[in-house]
Amino acid sequence: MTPTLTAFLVPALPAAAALFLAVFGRRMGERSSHVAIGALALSLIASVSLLVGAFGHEGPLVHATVPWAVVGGVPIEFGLFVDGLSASVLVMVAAVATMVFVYATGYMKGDARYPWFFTVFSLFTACMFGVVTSSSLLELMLFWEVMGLCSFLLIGYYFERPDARRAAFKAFITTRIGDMGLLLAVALLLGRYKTVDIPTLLAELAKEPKAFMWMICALLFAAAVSKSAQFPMYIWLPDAMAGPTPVSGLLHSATMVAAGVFLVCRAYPLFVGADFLPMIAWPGIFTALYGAVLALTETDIKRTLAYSTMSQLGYMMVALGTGGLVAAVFHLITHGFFKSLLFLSAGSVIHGTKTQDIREMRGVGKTMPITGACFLIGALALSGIPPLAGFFSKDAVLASLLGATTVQPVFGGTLLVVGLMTAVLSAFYMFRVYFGVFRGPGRKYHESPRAMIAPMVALAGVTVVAGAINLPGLRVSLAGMLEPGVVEHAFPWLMAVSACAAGAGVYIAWESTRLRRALHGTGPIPPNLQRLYGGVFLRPVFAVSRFLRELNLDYILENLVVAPVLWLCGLASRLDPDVLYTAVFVNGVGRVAASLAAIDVTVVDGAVMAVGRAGLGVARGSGFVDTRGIDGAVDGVAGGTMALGRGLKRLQTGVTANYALFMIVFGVAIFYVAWWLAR
Amino acid sequence: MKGIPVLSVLLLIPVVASLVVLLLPGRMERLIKGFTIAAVALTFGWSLLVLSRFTIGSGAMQMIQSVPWVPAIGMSFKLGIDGLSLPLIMLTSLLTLLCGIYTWRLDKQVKAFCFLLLLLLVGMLGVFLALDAVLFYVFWELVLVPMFFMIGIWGGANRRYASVKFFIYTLIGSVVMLLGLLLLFFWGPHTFDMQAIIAWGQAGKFTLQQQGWIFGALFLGFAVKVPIFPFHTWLPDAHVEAPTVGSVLLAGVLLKMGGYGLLRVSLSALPQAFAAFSPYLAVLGVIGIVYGAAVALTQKDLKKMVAYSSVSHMGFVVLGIAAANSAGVDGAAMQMFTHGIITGMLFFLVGMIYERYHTKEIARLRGLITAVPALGILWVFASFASLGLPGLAGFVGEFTSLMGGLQVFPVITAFAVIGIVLTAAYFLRTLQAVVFAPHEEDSARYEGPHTMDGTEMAAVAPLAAIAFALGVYPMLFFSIVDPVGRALATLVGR
Repeated sequence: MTPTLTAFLVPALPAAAALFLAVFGRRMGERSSHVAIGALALSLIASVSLLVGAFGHEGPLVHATVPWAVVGGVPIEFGLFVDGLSASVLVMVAAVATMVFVYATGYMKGDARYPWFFTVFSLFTACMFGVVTSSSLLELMLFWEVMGLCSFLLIGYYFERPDARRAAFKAFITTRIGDMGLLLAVALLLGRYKTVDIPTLLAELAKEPKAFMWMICALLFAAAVSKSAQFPMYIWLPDAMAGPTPVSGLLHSATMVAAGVFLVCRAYPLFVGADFLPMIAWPGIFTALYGAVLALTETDIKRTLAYSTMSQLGYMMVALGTGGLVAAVFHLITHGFFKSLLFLSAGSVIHGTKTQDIREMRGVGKTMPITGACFLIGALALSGIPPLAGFFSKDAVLASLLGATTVQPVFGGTLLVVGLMTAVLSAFYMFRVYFGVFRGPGRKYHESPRAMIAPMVALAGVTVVAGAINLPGLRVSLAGMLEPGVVEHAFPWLMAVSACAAGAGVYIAWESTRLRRALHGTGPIPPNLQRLYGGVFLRPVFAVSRFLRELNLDYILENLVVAPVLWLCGLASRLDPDVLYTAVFVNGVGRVAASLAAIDVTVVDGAVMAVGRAGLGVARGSGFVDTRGIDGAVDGVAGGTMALGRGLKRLQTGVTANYALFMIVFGVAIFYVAWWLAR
Repeated sequence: MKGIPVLSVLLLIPVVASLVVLLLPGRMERLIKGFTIAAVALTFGWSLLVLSRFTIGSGAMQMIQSVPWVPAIGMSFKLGIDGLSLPLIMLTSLLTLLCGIYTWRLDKQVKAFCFLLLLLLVGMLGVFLALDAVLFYVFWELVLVPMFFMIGIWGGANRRYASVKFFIYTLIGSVVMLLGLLLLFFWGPHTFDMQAIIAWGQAGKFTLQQQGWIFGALFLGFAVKVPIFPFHTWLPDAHVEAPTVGSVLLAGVLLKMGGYGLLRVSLSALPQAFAAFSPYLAVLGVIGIVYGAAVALTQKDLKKMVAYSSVSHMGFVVLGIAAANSAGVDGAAMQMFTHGIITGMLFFLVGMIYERYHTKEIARLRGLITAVPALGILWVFASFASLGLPGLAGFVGEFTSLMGGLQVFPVITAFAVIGIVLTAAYFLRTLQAVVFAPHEEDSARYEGPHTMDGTEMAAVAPLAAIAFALGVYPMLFFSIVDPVGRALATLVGR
């Protein structure tokens, strides 16, 4: 099989599965997941073979196009493009998706819309593969937007719930606002260069003036920001947790939200060439910190993970903003694994405890040990505790920030300090959840079914070892594939600092949990010194977090943006020209018509009625015509003179004739006007 | 098959059929309906034959046939098609076929309705086929009459007002348009042959002043039809009151006559005036896009919302035409076609919803997905197709027009994205309420079967299939239209 065919099969198989399930899903019932998982497993195999092929391959492994449309004689092409970047992301997406699909067979068991779920889920996976393997920017946008549709349908999966509907609406509209940037960029570039082939576009754009490149970057970045839930477009992501947990575990953690980061990676030479990187770094680092702070006081386990996701995506963005392409992709991949692991574990907990509120979950780890272990592995990875995957990738991100200090000390230094602070906070919020939910005494729960546990264990295994894909010094590594020839610098002291930061976060979480237990009377009272310690260090942090959450950017945006838009729309419909027309034209004409009608009624009707009466008299005399005939005649004549006013009262008589008359009279008049003008 | 005047036969089938319907006794309703369906199906079949004989990839007029009519003033019965008119002819015959099938459900004055439907088909096909200015005008006016009666007799509660408004608006528009057509004759080559007039115009033989006058006169007629902001106000009323079939054809085909006229006559024969006026046209187009969407967002009536969405979507047609480059013309042609398909589908679905719930009030429509799942899913599909989701047909036209607009009027065009976001907002808001939200206290009740019947499925399924196929792979459409787009683009030098 040629790589091109293999690359085609990766998105095509789940797409075919989605189409098949859309038609036959209902009849297949719970067997529909077999089709979806079967297709996906084949995609996974194909992705792995592409990755193997991409190792050590000079240039892109696959670059094939077919014409999709033709405008101005120039074909618009769709196609496949697979290089090291796409192959490595493909494998991550395929692996995570396979695990989540298997998990979903357990999680969604007995759901009334089970086949529908797997239909949309398959379609989504196909689109994510499509985004990653697109050679054309237009095609990328197509998959990108259909992914948005899938997100809409899956967030609103429990559509009976108003909050789910609202969240789905918000997610689609918020991302669509950003997507307008992508739309404008694609339309602009296609019009200008007559091609949408990404490598060609990047080559063409490199010759443009910086300002133009910068504008295109800004447009593309707008789409990336809203898809990857960066400040201030993140507002849809926490609400998106209203969807079923497998959805959160696949779309809103590992894959779809990472598409924004992927877009920036794909067009990275453009962002570098336009000097756009600081514009990526600042929102990125802010989002990383902001998300971590918000996650601190969130009480819903899935929303906590959502804030964590935006924070980690912020890490990827800030890495990109400091030239760390490899670090960003590395973190994208490891984050995909451990964040989906965390979501699946959280789903398992929710499945067992029937609540999402972490305050109501106590000591879950005792009776759900595997779930507890999996969550712990995910939490350790996210916190950046060695030797789990997250440690290496987060270290790579921090190394990239450190690298920036050599060029711009203030810029890089600020980013590095905030990045380390965020690392502490990440470990803190993660272990606050872990200690609070899994440790300590608690009720008895049932461990989740094997269909859910098995993929969690598999993901946990991957999370432990995934750091190895970019070990420095290895011949076969991510860095070697993405930036061949570039020597990655390792900073052992930075590794130590980052590990210490993570450890500090875990420790603070432990103290904080003890403190809270003490305050709630469920644990031993810590020494006064500890209480003081907790009060001095923790209270301000929690206060800030609470303040930010209560500030509720959502609410502000809604009132500053949405409300005025709706008000303007209402104004527009009130200012409808129709109203003006009615006031000026119709009423004016109406008045004339009314006076005409008065004349009509008194004079014409009078005359007609007189004739009618006379006729009636004759008719009575002769006993020939009935009253209806006379009335009809009267109405007919009156209707004839008042066609405009009375409209269709007598369709068969008055207006048809009038219409013909109109046409003839107007036609002749117009003809004369034209003739006179043309003379 | 050689020697058969293919296009005349296309026009002749509905003419003969309408006469036959007149002769059939009015009580034999099923026979009349069956005959009408057969006739429109034959017309559609014949249009497929026309498609198969069309030389794809040529920008020239094809299958021209001309019979002298009044030679003294250069009037002839002249028909022909090119890549611009062919898709519109296919659209017309397809939508009329589906409307014919849907008419099977009708039980009020069947004979008159079937007659008017066939008459309407003659007029609509004629407009897109005619290559003689007088013929063009006659068909243009012919279309008005059946539609007027359809709204006036089979319409809703406020049908008189709506039909008279429609009548006055379009009549004034078309009468002024006639002035323009006559000026083309007097100032031009003294013939009504449109090809000769276009050749005259492209040779630059109209002075700029003459072009301006003619353009203005024609513009009014076309602008009312499209409708271009601010001439659109007849449209929501007409749609809300029109019967389902009337709405489908009104939105699906009649609006396209305006866009077709702008391209066929205004742009082709008056390129300099067109170039001078095009920035204003672009502004009006973008205003239409944003304004139509904004007003649609606040509508409480489902049908009125779809009607305003038409105003918004036709704005893309106007924008593409104003750009007058190949992307703009291709996009406008594509948008006209896909708008016909998608909005036709939306109006069919509104009709089906109304038949079940006896209301079109969004606030009272709930839970469609549980009441009639197929209808709910189709509504979701049509909404996403209409809001321009890539992968479905609506996107292709929108995107291509936008691309054309950005090349010529980048700043003006960029504002159109506001309309795109608003469009997503009103469609999603409505579909969440109508399709997904569960029943409430005061929601309209529907207790009938949970399925759609055969005529309903037959009316919308082909449209859904086309909306999907064209969105995934629009190549065939572009290969038909693009040669014309390229030819027209050279006129204005874009």
